[in-house]
Amino acid sequence: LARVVVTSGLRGDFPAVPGEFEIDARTVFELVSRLDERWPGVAELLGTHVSVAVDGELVADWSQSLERSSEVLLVPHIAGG
Amino acid sequence: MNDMSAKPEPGTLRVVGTRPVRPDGVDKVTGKAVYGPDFTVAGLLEGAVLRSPHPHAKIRSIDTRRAEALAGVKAVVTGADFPDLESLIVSAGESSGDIIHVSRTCMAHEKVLYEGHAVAAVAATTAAVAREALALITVDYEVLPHVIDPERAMRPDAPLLHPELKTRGAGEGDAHPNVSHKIAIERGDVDAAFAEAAGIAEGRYVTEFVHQGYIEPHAAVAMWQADGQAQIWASSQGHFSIRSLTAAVLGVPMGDIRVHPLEIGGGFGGKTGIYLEPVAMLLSRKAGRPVRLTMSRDEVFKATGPAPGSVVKVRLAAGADGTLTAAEIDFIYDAGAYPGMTVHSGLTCSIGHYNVANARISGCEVLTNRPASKAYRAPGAPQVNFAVESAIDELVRKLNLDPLEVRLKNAVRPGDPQVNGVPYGAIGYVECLEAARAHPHWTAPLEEGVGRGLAGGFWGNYGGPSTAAVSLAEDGTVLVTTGSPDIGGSRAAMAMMAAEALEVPYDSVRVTIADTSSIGYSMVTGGSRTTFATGKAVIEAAGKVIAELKARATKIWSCDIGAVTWRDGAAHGPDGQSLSIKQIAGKAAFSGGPISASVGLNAAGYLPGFAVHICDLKVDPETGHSRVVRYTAVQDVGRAIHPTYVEGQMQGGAVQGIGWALNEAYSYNADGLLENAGFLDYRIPVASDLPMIDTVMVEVPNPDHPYGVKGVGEAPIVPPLAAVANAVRDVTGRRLTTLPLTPDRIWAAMQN
Repeated sequence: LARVVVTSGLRGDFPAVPGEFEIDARTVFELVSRLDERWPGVAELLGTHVSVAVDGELVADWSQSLERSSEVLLVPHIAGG
Repeated sequence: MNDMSAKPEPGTLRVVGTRPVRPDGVDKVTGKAVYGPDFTVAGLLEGAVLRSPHPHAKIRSIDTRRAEALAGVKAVVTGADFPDLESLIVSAGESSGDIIHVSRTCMAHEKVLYEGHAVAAVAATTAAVAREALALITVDYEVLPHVIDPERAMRPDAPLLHPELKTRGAGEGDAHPNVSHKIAIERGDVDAAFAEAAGIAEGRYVTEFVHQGYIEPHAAVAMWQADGQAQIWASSQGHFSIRSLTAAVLGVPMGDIRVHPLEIGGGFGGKTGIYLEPVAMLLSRKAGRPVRLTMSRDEVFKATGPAPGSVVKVRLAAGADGTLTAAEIDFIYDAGAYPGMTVHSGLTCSIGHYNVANARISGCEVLTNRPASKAYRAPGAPQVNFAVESAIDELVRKLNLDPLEVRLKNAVRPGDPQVNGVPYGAIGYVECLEAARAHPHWTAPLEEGVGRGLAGGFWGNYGGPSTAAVSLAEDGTVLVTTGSPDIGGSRAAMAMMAAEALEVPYDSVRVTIADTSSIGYSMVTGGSRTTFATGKAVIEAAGKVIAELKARATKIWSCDIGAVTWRDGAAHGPDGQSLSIKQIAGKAAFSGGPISASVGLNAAGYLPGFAVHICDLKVDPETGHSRVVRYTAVQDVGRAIHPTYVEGQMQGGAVQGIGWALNEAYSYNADGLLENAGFLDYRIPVASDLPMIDTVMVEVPNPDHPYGVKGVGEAPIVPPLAAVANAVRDVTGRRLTTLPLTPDRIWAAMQN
């Protein structure tokens, strides 16, 4: 099971989602799908307002595999000029 | 220039790090470049936009009959011509927002929310007729109370811009329709750390709306044909965003709109959205002819997106040795009429350049009757950095410590956690501080009446999606095509990276920025991403072309691929044989056809850019007039592909930050109307105001880019606000906490 952490700056956006939890997913795609099943609407935010970091690195390719020991951080997506 | 950049290792890099002439230079200095307002097409109609004279009003009705009857008028549109949309979050470059708000920014429907909000538009045979027609449109307004001050907007009795708006991130009982977004984080034991501190500095820092100040106004030409196919010609930071947003606002497929990029005369984040394009499209459809809309300077100030104003309360604690032990920060960002996307970057950039074990940071975004704010170089970072770096200066003075050494002691290093918890990669803040310490500026004696300020800061930068194609002309010329508008010299950088990869001369590479139907998607040129992300795509595409060139050589020589190497722009095979890129390209038709490769990628591995600025500033004690007399910008640039353009980014960012600190502010009267919508009254720095901005490029290469690139465009606007304010503090003995630091404010402070 991968450990998911909703970083504190985002917790207001996910009031129903616990700050930390474990989830069974083989890839980030699968993780996002599972999250959206459990908390509908999360996937939309993950595509726009939220970035995903796996084991300390921001992920651009959601096919990246998750290990049982993976730590997944959901962090704010930062705009630029 | 003091160039401390690491030189490419001999024999490894031959083009990267050199300073060739930019490919777009001649057109620009001879006035031949075609910018947004310059573009014309046969049968073109001129458009004009009617804008609200009120900061807040209901639109009871709009009567356009007299305008439509005027000779020469071919079309009139209002909000009623725009399709009704369902609320939907859409990506707009790096940011995102509700498509309804995007649509309303182009044209008000039920209400106007700021002076200058578009309410109707006309297309006519001449610009004079179009303007005359605007005067014939009657809008019946019900004027509503307005709110310009963000703190007032948060009160329970404040006029509401969007009564239905839900506060994103608000807790129970914590919402307000004028507060669009709230965030908060806390770590460690903040109260205990303050209780044990050797020194505490606190203050309330205020900044106003400031405009990016690009010289080229917004403009768009649209031609929407009867068969539904449309073309738009516009300058922007991202023509793919123009396509997607215009398609979403008008409810048409993206493929029906082809957007052609034009030369851009400055954007700095302010040209990542849309204002005119859907309006020009609707006018064109009604008129059956192409339509051009061009903003005046007055319209640019009143109706496009400046940077948010801010109120930042900061409290910092440190031990006697200068170790930062706690931070408490609460900030308000004034987003104007519609929600923006800067609170998270405000939070991330507040103390992200230092290790502070105990922190409580909260921020909110407030809506006011001002134009909707947009990105401006490192959006959301300079405002909070001004407060934090000013407070550090106060703390250092209280503890009688060295401002540079304190920053060095607390600076983040690779592996340290960012505010969001993700560890930093190969960052170079420490190297920047060390370079600043080693620079002669830092230890140069100060003349009478001159003060010195120091500040550091950073911007996270970005990667994201880009597409690039590399093809060979029959004579071996390398043709690079991207979808990334060139704002800061990226055509030169792309050509240099392609030349480096292919091992050919820079002069044999030509770069084109293609329209949305001629190349795959690329995200906006913003977030300091283009040289990094689009550059990666160019390098990968060049690598594929090399592989193909080698394959063609094996066909010509009838040898194995393993026997062929690529160096010096040529294939080298068995028995000392070689074929140049020109020779292989000339035989391409007989060895498999034209040679080209395209790469689309979502670039990961981007790294933040850190900067340290030193400002010497002279103050006239009789008038309060200040003048920057020496300025040095130090920055970790990863590796500079074209050092001159990197230095240009550093200088440009510094100058814009100095303007923010000393001169620039939106000034509203009691009626909620903007008083200084022009460059005479909104004073951006000009060359005669400033000394040469010295630059020091520190190169800590990014291991996730083939040539070590980090974004460089945004970090340099982060430190100047505090660097200037700290210099004013140094020379006057007074801490000024409200920007801009105008002569009257400095003079008044010096009287106390």
